[in-house]
Amino acid sequence: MSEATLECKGLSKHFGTNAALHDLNISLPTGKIIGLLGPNGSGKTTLIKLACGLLTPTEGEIKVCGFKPGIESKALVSYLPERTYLPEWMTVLECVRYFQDFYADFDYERAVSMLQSLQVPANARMKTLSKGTKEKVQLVLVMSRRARLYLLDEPIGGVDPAARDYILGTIIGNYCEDSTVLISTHLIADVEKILDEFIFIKNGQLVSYASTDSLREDLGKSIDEYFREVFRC
Amino acid sequence: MLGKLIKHDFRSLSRVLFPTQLAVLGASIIATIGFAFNIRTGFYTSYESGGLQLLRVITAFLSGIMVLAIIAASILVAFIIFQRFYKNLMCDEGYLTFTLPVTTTQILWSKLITAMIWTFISGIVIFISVNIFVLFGTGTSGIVNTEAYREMSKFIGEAFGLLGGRLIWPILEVILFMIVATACNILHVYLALIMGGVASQKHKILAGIGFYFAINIAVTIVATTIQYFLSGAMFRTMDSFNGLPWDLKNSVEIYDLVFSSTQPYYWFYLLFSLAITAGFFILSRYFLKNKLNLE
Repeated sequence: MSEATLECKGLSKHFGTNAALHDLNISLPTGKIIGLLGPNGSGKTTLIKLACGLLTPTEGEIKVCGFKPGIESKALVSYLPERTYLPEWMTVLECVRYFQDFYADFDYERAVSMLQSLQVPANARMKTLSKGTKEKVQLVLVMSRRARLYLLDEPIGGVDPAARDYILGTIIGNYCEDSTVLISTHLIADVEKILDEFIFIKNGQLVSYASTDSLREDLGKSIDEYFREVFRC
Repeated sequence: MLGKLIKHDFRSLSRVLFPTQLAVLGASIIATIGFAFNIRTGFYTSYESGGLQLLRVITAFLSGIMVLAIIAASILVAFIIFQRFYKNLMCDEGYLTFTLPVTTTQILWSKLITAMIWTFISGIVIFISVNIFVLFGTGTSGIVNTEAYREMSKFIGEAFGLLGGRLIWPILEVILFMIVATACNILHVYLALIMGGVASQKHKILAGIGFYFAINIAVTIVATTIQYFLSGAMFRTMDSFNGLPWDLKNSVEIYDLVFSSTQPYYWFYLLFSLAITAGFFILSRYFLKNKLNLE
């Protein structure tokens, strides 16, 4: 497939006078796990929200598999926000059915088996679950889709290290040639081992976009070390 | 996809609204029993005393409370419809709603249709409650009192006997207008909530209330202006009814004349309301599609 999974051309997003993203040009290939890294307020979440169609660009354009954000792109994007977005009154299983109903690419068996592995009670209502368990449920739902693009905003921030490993394992396990995973996180050391490529952004602008291997080969550094160097306070 | 959205929205509303409607029915039964007890034992008189008197006061009081509960429940229906809309679209749940592979138009239709269905259901429940009260609460002898129904069916029978099937048209027109007016009122609040969410991040609901009144004022200004230009013609129509022979002999002719001369106004106001309703829908869609900024 010739077109990029995610493509931004001159993408800008302003909130009032404040530019969250400024003239971003980037093209992400298919079949990679990519880290979206940057300090707080660098525009990571804004970029992800623009790709989901939750925000509208001030200038420029963003496309997912050639589609501008809309009904076609939303069917291809599996989005994990940095907050809990499932209705509190639903049970875990109701949430699974909800996803199954709306997303043609949702794998019900996979979701149920992942919930079992993470020991999430299927019949519990969302409001009775702890914050970490809610995050697990959301991640399971998002990763149980056979999407073309996974946008994961802080997927491991709120869960314990054991679940973190399982989740990262899940992301790799789910990896297939046709899909791209974009992970935004501060926990670089934790995700580093699964990243093929990484993007550094700062103040809404692209600082660096490279492959993890080339960084290791050319500079002999890990992403974590490189991050601390680039974004030194 | 619209069907799926409606299914889920309806379920989400019904979960809360179904119990309230059961409560309304329960409250109306209690109120009916209380009232029936009073009417059959003779109302409160200050000469009596003792247990019976106390029971009368209690049942009368209970009936009053239940009537208030029924009124509260109908307000609650509206409140819950708008609260679900707000939480589902303008709060965290919006992250899910707006990333579903559906169009903004479908989301709005789903919210409108489910709200209208529930408004209709709550109307039916109140209708049933009133009938329970009339049937079982108002008789001084026996359990069931069908007098009101006998009178009503006599009246309807006479009216149709006199005027025939043509009487169905104003009834249909009133129903049509009620449907449009319900949609209009619901979309009015939806639009205000959306605009509130777009305009403010911190005080979405407060801004929404402000927009509700702002929209109200704007619509009133337009309606009053139109009213002003129409009033001359309306007075002339009213005047033309003055010389009519208002008696039963000529009822069919008079009915036809009055009905046909008021038709242009009816259709004008219906189309005006439809235009406002469509305007609310289009603006809501525009703001959700182009101005949505979930924090």
